Amino acid sequence: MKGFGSRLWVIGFLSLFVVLFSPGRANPELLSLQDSLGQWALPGKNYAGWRYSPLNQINTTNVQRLRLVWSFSTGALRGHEGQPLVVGNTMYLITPFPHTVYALDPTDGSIKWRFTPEANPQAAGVACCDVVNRGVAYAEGKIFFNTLDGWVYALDASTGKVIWKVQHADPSKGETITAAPLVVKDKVIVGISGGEFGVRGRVAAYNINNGQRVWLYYNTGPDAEVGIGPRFKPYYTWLRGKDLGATTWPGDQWKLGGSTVWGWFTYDPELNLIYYGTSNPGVWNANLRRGEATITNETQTRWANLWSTSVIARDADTGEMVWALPMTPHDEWDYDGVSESILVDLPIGGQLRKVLVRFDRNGFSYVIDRTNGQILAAKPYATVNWASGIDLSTGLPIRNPEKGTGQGKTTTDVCPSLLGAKNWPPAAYSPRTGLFYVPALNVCMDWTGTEVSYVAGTPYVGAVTLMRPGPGGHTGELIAWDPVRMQKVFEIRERFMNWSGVLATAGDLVFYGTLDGYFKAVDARSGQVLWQAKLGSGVIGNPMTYTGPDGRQYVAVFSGIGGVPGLVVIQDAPPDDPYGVFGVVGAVGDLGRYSRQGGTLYVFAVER
Amino acid sequence: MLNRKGIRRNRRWNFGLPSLLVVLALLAAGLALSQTQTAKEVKCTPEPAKLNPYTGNPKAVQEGRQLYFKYNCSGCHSSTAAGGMGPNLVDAAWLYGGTDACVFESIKMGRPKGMPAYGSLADDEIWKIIAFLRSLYRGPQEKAVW
Repeated sequence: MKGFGSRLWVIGFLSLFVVLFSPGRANPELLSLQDSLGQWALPGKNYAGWRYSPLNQINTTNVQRLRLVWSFSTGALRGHEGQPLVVGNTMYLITPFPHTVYALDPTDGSIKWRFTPEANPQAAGVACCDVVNRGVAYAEGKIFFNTLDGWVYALDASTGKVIWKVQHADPSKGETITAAPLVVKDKVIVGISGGEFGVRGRVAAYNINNGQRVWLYYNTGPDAEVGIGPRFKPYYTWLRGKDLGATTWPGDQWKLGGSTVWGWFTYDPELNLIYYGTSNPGVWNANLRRGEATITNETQTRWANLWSTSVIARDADTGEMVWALPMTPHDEWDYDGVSESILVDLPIGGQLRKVLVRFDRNGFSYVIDRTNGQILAAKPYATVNWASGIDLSTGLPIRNPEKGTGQGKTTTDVCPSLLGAKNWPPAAYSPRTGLFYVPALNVCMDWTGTEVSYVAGTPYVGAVTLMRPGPGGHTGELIAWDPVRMQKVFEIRERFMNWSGVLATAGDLVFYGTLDGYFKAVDARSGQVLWQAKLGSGVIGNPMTYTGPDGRQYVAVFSGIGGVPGLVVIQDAPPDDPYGVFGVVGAVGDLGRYSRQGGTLYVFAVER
Repeated sequence: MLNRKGIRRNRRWNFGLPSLLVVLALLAAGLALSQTQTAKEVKCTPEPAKLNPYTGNPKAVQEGRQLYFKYNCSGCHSSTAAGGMGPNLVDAAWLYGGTDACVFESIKMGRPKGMPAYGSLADDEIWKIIAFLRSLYRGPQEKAVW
């Protein structure tokens, strides 16, 4: 008896060992969770970044009876840009910096545990766009999150106790972390923010069990540091060559070259590739990033400032770059490539193609072959005048020479503005309608290049900018977009820029929030607003939905204004000085009359 | 906290004096700590000092504007100091005091919640930047007591 017992113990221990240390295990777990009906275990619901839920208990016929079930004050005032996760019978969320992570009961919001890491307050001074955090990640009974002051944490999901922590970014150099991590297999993938501080963008993978770094690659610099080797096969010939991440910059400018990773990661398990966008090149003043006075269609490749504003595909195990594609080579307008790459298979030319679809900050919607980085289609989804189109034979924009920027020069009426035709808030995709639902901006700008010097830990920008509403006078739109026909199906105009993510559901509903604090449910096919509620503060978070342990479908969203447009409210910028907040006041100067600060999670369900 | 009851109890335990000393020492340390923290934030002269030789001097204001851009102040506070990543500097609300001495110290020494220290700037440059900021002031006139 005793012998059998100890043998059982050994078997148990061995299987625990196998469970804990087999590298692939988190992958099947998350692969199964991403397909579960009622759980929301990844920031974008699935690895493809659809933000689509197969739940339909709340649908077009009963959404009028959607009522508040519970709400939760986070105690934080700054912008709430992320989304909660629901795994098992627990909801997990993180507040802006200085952060607190909460584990809540998903039916009533009662607190299971909370954790507040130590915080370095200096990090707030190097956060360009409010002290935000875009959410936690889950795998194997652990919660992973990044902090603005540069740490990556793993907590025990059932107790909130720290399992490990590592420092990944250094605020004294202007580096912060705002993006949500993504867990792939046994690795947690993390980027850095700080494109306005002359940092050098990079991405790294840490082992989920012990926090050891598995790989780290930069987005600028020589091939070896970028992860470019024999597997790198970009589609367009001009992207092939040695050390282009350094030679497409003058001198050593690539060392201050931004190209950070602060948006969403997506992952294709079959190709084993992770996808992300890189930010604007550092510094905004484009004269410092080229060897000639102005840039033309011919010279934009010479001074492309690679690999800024790019979609990058890396092997999830090794980090090797497999392909890359710049959206705005030699960016002159802060057309940061933060937009998420949403993975879908689309019928194109009579064939089902593995593509990624992105709504870039530069105003073009791209359909890209995700196996090799070939652009299959590119069309403007908003007012665009810096380029007349994308040349599909080279992947290059056809630039409008009148809209180039330079030091000591004012370029007027550039569309879109530096905030883009869409910023970081993620779009959603519904496989039922085949449409993308895009939180879009309708803002144009004037840009004056100014002298600037690099001082570590201070902004490295060199531009004075002024924004105004685009054609029509509104500054926000929710767009439904057909990715096969490459055209708009409907739009809903908003007075203020759409700065919240979007949720699509099998109830044929689309949810989104507005800066003036409305949370709306829209018919996914007609675009008719079926329900709305005015929340306590502006909505810049991403709505999500889940099934509670009680079998009820809930929809949750953060309210809590902030982010770039919210700085108008946070800093109390005078509404009559359009240059305030980098010229954002010129577009949404009266926002402070419609929304004040304060973070709350709101959770709704259909009245029973 | 240090009421008579507490002291009596200490006396009964027969190590009253050392205990009291420890408590006093702790209190003093706490007070010192809170004083350092407070000092860090408002060590500058709280009342108006009118230290800046350049206030209202148009040439210095213009030079201050150039310095404001050169040292990337505009990157945080925006081109017209109306606020951005960092606070708006044109109203009467100052996190660390709005007198000349306080603003000078904020620039020279930095502040804990994100303002970097510009210790390498010449005093003269800092005063010109402050003169530029004063020229942009939009708050009530009665609060313009620097």
